[in-house]
Amino acid sequence: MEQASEAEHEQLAILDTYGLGMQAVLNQDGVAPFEYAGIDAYEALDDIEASLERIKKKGILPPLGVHSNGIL
Amino acid sequence: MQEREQWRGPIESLKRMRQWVLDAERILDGSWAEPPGHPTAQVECQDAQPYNPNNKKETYRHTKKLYRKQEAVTNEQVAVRFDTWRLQLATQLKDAGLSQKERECLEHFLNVLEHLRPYLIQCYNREDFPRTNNETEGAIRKIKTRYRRISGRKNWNKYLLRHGRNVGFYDWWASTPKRWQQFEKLAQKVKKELWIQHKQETEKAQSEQLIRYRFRHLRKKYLVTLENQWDATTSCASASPSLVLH
Repeated sequence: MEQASEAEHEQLAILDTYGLGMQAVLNQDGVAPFEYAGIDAYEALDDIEASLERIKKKGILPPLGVHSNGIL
Repeated sequence: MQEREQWRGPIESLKRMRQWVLDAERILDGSWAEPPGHPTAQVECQDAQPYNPNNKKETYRHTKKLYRKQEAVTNEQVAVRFDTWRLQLATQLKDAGLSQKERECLEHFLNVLEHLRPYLIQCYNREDFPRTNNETEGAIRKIKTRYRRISGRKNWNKYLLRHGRNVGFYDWWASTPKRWQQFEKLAQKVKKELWIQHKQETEKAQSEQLIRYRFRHLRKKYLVTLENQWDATTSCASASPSLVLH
């Protein structure tokens, strides 16, 4: 199996961080009626989506790009 | 009186269901085990710390301490008793007389126990280890109070983020000089590879905790940082042409 280059490795690590972040916002708690966890999670996922769109426009390294259809 | 009769069935059913929970609790609290050698009250009193019997809190602590000293159950004993009871309870599902509601509840109860089983019976071989959720929360509260007293801060969030699970390890080992000596002896015997492996695991868990915190509380700023990091990786690898996905 072909080894990922250092830059690809870093990009994968960043995507991994996004994944962990999504998991974190989906599992957050809130004390209703002061904090609605569902609404917070919705807004957080919007922010994450926008950020992923921005990095998608900036470009992805080719070998990672081949496998990233499911990620981005 | 006749109106009361129609409730008899549901109430009997509720009582039976409540008994399942009580039975589980009785098995898990270990109170069924005989203390070794049946120590007399006199021995107990000599061994125990003096306390004020008029103070409810002190009396409770004293009773719990004595109970723990006499506790003679092991993980294996509790596991055998618990599994036998679970199998016995499962045979009730074959009972044709069981109401639909009770059957659903029993299936759910058995499923919950099945999922929890691998984690449930682990604490009996360790002295002073919290046995229940309430005791675990009490132990965490003690660490928090100690930190707040030392630091003067109102909360311990920064302490937790900085040191992660080491907070709990330190509090356990440093609670008495005897334990600390025990820790030093154990640390001398730990193999280098094992130490490195555990250190990496701890650091990884702590780093994930920090990421979760940033996504929840400093999201916008953190997303910008991640995007900048992404920029850095693409500019480093500028020799390779970048690909924009569709």
